[in-house]
This record gives sequence, C-alpha cells and structure tokens, in this order.
Amino acid sequence: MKHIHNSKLILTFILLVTTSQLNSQSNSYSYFNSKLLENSNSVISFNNHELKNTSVAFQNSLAFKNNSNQKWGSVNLPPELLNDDFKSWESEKHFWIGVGEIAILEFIPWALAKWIRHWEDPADNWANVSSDTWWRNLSNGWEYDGDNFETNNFAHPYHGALFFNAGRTNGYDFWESTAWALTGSAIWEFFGETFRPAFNDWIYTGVGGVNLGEITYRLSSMVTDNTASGSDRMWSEIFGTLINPVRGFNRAISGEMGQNFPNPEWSRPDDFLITFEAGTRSIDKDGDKTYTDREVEGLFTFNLIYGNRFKAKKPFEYFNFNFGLASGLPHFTTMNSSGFLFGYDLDNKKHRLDVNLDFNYNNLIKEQYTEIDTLYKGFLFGSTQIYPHLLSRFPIGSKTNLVTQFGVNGILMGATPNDYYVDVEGRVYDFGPGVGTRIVAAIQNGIWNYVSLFYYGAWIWTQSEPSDSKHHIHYLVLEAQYPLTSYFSVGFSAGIYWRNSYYENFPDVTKNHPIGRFFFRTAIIDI
Amino acid sequence: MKKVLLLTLLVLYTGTVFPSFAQTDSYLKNRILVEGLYLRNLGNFSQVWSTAAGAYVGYSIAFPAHNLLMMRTGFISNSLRDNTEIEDASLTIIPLEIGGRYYFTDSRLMPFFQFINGLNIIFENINLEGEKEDKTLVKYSWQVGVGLTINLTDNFNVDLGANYQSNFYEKEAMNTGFEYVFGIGFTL
Repeated sequence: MKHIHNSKLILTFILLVTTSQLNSQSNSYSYFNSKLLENSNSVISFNNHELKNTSVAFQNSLAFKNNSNQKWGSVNLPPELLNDDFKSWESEKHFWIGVGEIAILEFIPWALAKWIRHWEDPADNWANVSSDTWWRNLSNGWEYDGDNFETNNFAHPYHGALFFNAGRTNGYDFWESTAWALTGSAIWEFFGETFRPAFNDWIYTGVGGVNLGEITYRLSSMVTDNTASGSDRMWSEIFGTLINPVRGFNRAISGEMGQNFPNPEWSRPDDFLITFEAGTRSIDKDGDKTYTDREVEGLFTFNLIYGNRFKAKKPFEYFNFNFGLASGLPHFTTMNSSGFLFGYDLDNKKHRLDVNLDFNYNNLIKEQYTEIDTLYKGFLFGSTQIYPHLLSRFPIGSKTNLVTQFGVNGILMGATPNDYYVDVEGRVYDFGPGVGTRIVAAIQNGIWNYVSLFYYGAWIWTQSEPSDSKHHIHYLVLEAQYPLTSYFSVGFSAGIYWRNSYYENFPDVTKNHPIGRFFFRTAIIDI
Repeated sequence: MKKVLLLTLLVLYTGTVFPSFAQTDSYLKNRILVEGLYLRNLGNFSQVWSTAAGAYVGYSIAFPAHNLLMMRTGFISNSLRDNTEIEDASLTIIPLEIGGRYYFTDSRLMPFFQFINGLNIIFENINLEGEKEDKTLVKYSWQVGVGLTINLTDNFNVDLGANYQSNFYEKEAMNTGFEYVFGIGFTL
C-alpha cells in the first residue's frame, strides 16, 4: 500500500485530545514518570499508579468537570433520565455493516489513486486493477515491497487500525477483530493494487493495525461520554470520532450519538496518565565511533499510559504510547506503543509473566545530498513484535521499588538499514523477522523513576531482496531525572545504538550512534 | 468411484436427516481432524510442479460459539508437470502450522472461514532449473479459505474445504495454489 500519509492527521488527533483535556482539567499535580527511555525501540513504561493513595488521586483527578465527584466523566443529566435499557451498538455483532465498512476503507484510497491522483505516466497507476492483475497476484504470491519507512511503518498500521475497528466497533471482541485487520489488509494486497502483494505490508497493516486499532478504540471510548448532553456531549463525540473515525461512523448510523445511556465500565481505566517532554537530543550521524558528526535538535514527546500493568487481565487493559517530533529532519521521529495481551500473576502482583504486543517506529535517518550521491546517515528501526516478559517489583524501601523486566523480543517483522541498497521506491532498509532480549530496570520512588536502565537487542534475518544479510542491533540507555516539583522534572539520558550487519556479498559493517538527551518533563493529565 | 460417492452422500444424508443423533448444546468442541488434500499449484512454481496431494492431521481447541484454534502437521508430495522429463524428482513438504476457524453458525451444518500459517519443511532433490541437488528448506506458509463442517453426530463430523495458499519458496516462484480438502473429525 503506497497511498496513505496520515501523520498530520494523527498529530492533529492527539493535539486535539490533549487540548480538550487541558481546557477542562487543570488541577493535576501528581506526576508519574511513566516513560523510561525516549527513542527506545519500545515504550517501556512502568506503571506504578497502584502505589498511589487512590482517594487522593480521586480528589486530584482531572475528570471532565472539576466539580465532579466521580473519577471519570460528568453526568450532567439526572441519572433517572439515562436510558439504562438502551442496547448499545457494540452489544451485538453487525457482520455485514463491518463488511461494508471494510469495502469503504478499501475503496477510498483506491479511488483517490485511480481518479484523483495525477500520474505523469498513467502506466504507473497502481490502482488500474483488473481480473488479470488479480489472477497474476494470486499466481505470483507474496513479495517484499520497496516503500519508504514512513509509508510502510506508519501509514500501513494506521490503515490497519481502521480495518481492525470495522470489526471492533461492530460487536467483535479484540481477538476476533484481529481477523478483520488481517483480512482487510490481505484483500487490499491481492486485489487493491497492481503490485504483487507485499508480505511486509500484510504484517504491518494487520498486526500493527491491531495495536493502533485497539489503542484508538479504547481512547475513543474513554473520551466519549454517553451520559453527557449539550456542548459537552458534542465535543466528546467529535474527539471520539477524530481518534477513531470508524467508531464515530458507527455511533452516527446507530443513533448512539443522540442517546443517553451509561458508559461501559471498562471504558474508564483505573489509571490514566499523559506527560509531555521538551528538550534537546544529540545524535552522532555517521556512526564511526568518534562522535564528531553529531547533530543537536529539539525534541518534543507526548507520552500516554492507560491502565495499570500490574492489574491488567484483558487485552490492552494496559498500554503505553509515545509520539515524538524533532526540530530537525525527519520531524516525525518516533511512535512506540506496547499493549498487554495476556499474562499471569505469579506472586500477588509482585511478579507477573506477561505477553505484550509492541509497535515501534524510530526514524532517525538523515538524507544528505552530495554532488554525486545521496548519503543516508543515522539509523532507523521499526518493528511489530510480541514481547513475552517477566515483570517484577522488588521493594527496597518504604516507598521505593526496583521494577524490572526481562523478556524476549519476538519480532514478526523488523526494519533496519541496509548499507548497500536503495530501492527505486525509496526503501533503504531490510525487512525480516528477528529475536532478541530486552532488559529493563528502574528505581521508582512514589511517582518518580529516578534512575532507569534499558537494553534492547535483536537479530534480524533479512527476507526482503537483497536477502544476503543479517543484522545484530543493540540499544542501551541510562536515564536519570529529578523532580523539581510534584509535577515537573528535569532529566538527562545517555545511550548508544549500535548495529553489526553481516553481508554475504559485501564487507560487513559496524555502526555506533551515541545519543544524548536533556529534557524537562511535565504531567498534563493524571487520573 | 461411484460407490464411494454414493456411500459418502448416504452418510451425509443419514447424519443430517435422522434425529437419532442427539444434539448437545454446542457442536463446537475440541477435535482431532484428519484431512486429505489435493493441490493445484499456480504461477511459475506450477510450471515445474503442477499438482500436489497429501494429508493433514491436527488437533483443534474450541472457543465457543464461533472460534476454533487449530494446530496441524502432515505430508504433501508434489507432482511434476506431465511434460517434464526428470527422473526421480521429488519435492515433499511437512507443514507445521497453527491457525483458526471462524464458524458462522453452531449447528449441524457449519460454514467457516479459515486462516492458517506456519512453517513448511521442504525436502527437494531438484531445483526449479532442473539441477539435481538435495536440499532442505524451511519457509513460511500462509493459507486462507472457506469450508463446511457437517456434524454427523455429536462426536463425528465431515469437513469440506477450499483454500488459497501463498507459501514462500523462491521470490519469482512462490508456492501458490488452490487446495481442496476432505476431512473427518472426532470430538474428544
């Protein structure tokens, strides 16, 4: 799929949601440092909300109205006016509505390419599909495509999130909705383009779409308040629709937007936190160990934590998500998320064996033009992966804990640079599955992570053409921060990304990219 | 052949019509499934290996009222195209796969959508260029399809299915094809 560039749209969604929360919520003074490591290959937040005094948290919580006694939402209708017998749209399955929505979601990008987009050479129009191209695609089967990093690692997962929600918001549960994302993606790959179906697209759209899809589903459900009316209701519906357009569409056609009925209990998580960081990042671009070709840029990061990871039981009852913008190119530099899939409490919430579904987008590669060539400096890493891990909490004081993770990175599809290959369509990286280890440790005191250490390692075996390489990547970061007030901290981190790439037909390559950061961090919303 | 068809139809008819096979709450149960398959290969792969036949044996875990988690293995032997004159050529596959079915209904006749994927362990003694070479490959397998489960009794069923597969083999010759299966299932 080569058609969607939704970064601006997503950014708008997030800013709108953040702004809306800020406007109505100004009393949050508790802060919890949920985010360990900026630019890491995974969001690796520790949620220690459960350590808080919940009654204090309730009083300080930033619900939609300051005078609300409830933790979540504002009931501005008398309870007796709520329609308790109202049967919500999602309480029943609507298969054919979902199928119709998949068709619409396939048709819109296809139609834009077919009839709206200008093609210098009409023969390049990949939307000119026919029964011949369908049969050819079925006969030839999968390949790996040559799209650039943003298209493959962001636009496709976002499209997959819409497919996922065609099932999720029509009454299907999380696991059933994964089939909607994978099916929607497969239909597009085989029948929506003249190109051969791309296996990397199917994984990123299908599995990455599940991750982003459930996140947008839960966030949309959270900001939508069925008990509100008037302008409160209108804005909650608008924000909910912006976050999840498919859900908004279904609420519109089902009439739910105009009904007053209780909010689903699950839609208001026990804990919810948004933090924002602003600071600088220094990165060595050429990777030659000397740290002389460094670039300093501004970095702004939005971080979100939903739920309590020590209490999660159902998929994505806990997830974290971050999104980073840099002043230098590329501006859209990071987007990582990790959502709980299933797990087991081994020792009364002290030790858990959990399996998460992670999505990683880290684009720190810089194009540098010379008279004869284009150089690609820096690094990138993208993946959709399963993360089974042991999560532990060790008390080391009355209010201090050492929280650790030790797990396996089960990479379904990873992307890392190739030093010798540039595809005509823009791909400068290899695709492949991988496996590695992740080790995380953090000293927490109350709501703060004072010191944290993060290591991520993985082998990636290249499957895309040219498939003559394998890569061993590492990312190690040490971070420290100090709270200046109860809601504001200052910190720094020092880390290194290094990669050993082994080629059958070219010399092996080792790259080292030291990274330093200095930042201020503030809590925007803490519930 | 006619006798086999008649016998099959008789079994299906008997199981569907006679109420003596009492129905339990749900037909969706854990099952052992044994299937026979016939494959018509597509694309460049089929220019050398035109068809295949084999069998699957698997175990399925039910998640009522619609879902079935499937694990299976088997043996598949590919056949050379008729006009290919290579002696003793063989390409056999042992699949190790996991996937699932979504059943649209829970009744005596249960249409389903199926997806299954995993790894194919491929044993070949000749490559697509006709060069003799013993080789073992491990490649990703991917298959999607539809079918019908006919519950003849509470504990015994017949499966019919048609699947499309796009298994990895070589970039310009993926192991694509349409597969037709007939199976029997036993409830545990």
